[in-house]
Amino acid sequence: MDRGAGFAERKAGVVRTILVRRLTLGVFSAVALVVLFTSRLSYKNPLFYSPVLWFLLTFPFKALIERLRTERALHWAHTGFYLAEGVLITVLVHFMGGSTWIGNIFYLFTVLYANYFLPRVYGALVTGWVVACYATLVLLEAGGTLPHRSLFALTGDPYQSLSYNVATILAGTVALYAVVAFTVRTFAAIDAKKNRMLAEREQALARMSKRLLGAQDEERRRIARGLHDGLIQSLAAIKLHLAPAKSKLGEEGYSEVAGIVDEAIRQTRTLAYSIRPPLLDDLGLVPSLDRLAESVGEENELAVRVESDLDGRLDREAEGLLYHVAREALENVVRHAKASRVAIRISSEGAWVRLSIEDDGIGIAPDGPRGLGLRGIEERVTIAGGTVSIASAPERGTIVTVEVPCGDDADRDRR
Amino acid sequence: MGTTRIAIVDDHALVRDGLARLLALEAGFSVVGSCGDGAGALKLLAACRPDVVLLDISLPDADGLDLVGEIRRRNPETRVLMLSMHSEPEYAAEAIARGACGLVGKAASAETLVDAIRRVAAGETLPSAERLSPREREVLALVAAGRSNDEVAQELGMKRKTVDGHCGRLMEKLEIHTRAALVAYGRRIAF
Repeated sequence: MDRGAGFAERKAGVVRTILVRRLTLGVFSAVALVVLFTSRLSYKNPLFYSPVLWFLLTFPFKALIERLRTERALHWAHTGFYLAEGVLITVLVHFMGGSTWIGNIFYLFTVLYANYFLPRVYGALVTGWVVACYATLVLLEAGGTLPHRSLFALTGDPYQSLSYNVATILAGTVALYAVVAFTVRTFAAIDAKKNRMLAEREQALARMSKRLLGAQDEERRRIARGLHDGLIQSLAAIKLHLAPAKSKLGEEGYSEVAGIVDEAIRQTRTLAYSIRPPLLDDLGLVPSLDRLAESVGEENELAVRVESDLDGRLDREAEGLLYHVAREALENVVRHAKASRVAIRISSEGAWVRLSIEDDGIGIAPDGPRGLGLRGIEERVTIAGGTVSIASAPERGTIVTVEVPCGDDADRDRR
Repeated sequence: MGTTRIAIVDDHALVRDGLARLLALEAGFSVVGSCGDGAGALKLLAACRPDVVLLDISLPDADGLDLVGEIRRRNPETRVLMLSMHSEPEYAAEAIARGACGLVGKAASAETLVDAIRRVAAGETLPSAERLSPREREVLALVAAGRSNDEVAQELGMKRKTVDGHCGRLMEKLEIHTRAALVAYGRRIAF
């Protein structure tokens, strides 16, 4: 269990529930005072002093909880509070109107809070305790050990007094609704806070993913550049230096060595291209897609068409992302769609760019499993703040549409 | 025919050196200067006014493609032949669209390199339009003027399908893969 932020958060939660209790009991105590004065009960009557006692009890508990350092101690103190609360409610119920009084509903809130805020074992302990308290009261009253005061069949003063009965019913009603209201508000606030934290965490994650993807892109660009500007250039230089030595090497020797160098160049170029096509940075998205369309088309006997109404370049991230999407989608088509034609369309609308890849293949089941490719597309596009939609019908092809936000890149860097 | 004066702009010293040695062996070529960056290139060209400059696409301080326009403005008599490690035809199309006479791969064979320089020095644009038929040239000129295939068909009194066929063959012969590149090429060689 996390001792750091998690613990502090939990502790603050417990303190909050105790503050809610204190407010509720403040209302209780006020009502008890009204009852005290309207029915001229003695201040020694438990009806008066038990809510006040309960109210005061929240202060040492809060002080205790704020000093605690371990999760376990926190749970026990919290549990102790609920156990004491069970006893206090039992005393109150007995003196207010007996075990049949509506006030026994207050047990509900003790059980609710305990089971919401505490681990299962502690919650079960509190529940059992509350049941035991109430059962004891019922048994004692039924067996005649304690006098049973039914609200509407009371004998003797002060229970026959109308003002006592009215005040008691009002007290029960007011306090009940106050507790209900506080409970709902507490849980709603806790929920809202959790949601906010979740949303913040999600945003932080999204930002981090975006940064990571950006860093990864940058790294790939750097490596591909390095291969192109470094290694391949050196290989080309070897070949250039080889030509003047043709007479020494002889025709056969020359073409043998030149062939090896050519093969090295070809391999390095293929590697660099698969990491990140330099075309993408040098000439932009559309020429890169043209190239992709042609090479994928030739390899797989697929007619791939690229249509674009794009004017100029997009920002680097968007170009990288859209290229990635097109490549993944095209790969998906080649692997699964059994298509013969594919159309890649790019259009821009204000600050948004739309890319769609449409094929005439067998389609994908609308609720069927999505391949890694499509899921990868969805992830990356979502992280970039864009949207993905996939429309497909059996034997009628698939169209993957992606929309991403994009500014024109003013300081684009082609190198 | 006199000597073709050549300048080399490439940031890779070994490539520069290799090219210089290779070209020094060819009759009719003389390498008059070389440098490794964009700023140096403009100074070099102003000083030695070569017939042909071999210009690398990626330079440390500039984009070779962006440099073409500047060179054409300052040295209108100098023909620019782009050098690149990239073999994708899109680069050649872009180079021509920017005003270069063509693009040749650094890893090309010595014969290809020398042949490309000779053609460019002689005023040709690569890929060479020599192999185009008169009809194809007509179609290309209209496409370059921004006409759609339907409009081309109407103007030349052909069927639309025939125009499509001509365009396909043009792209194949010129190793051009997009209509935009075809338009750029057509404009560059301007019949």
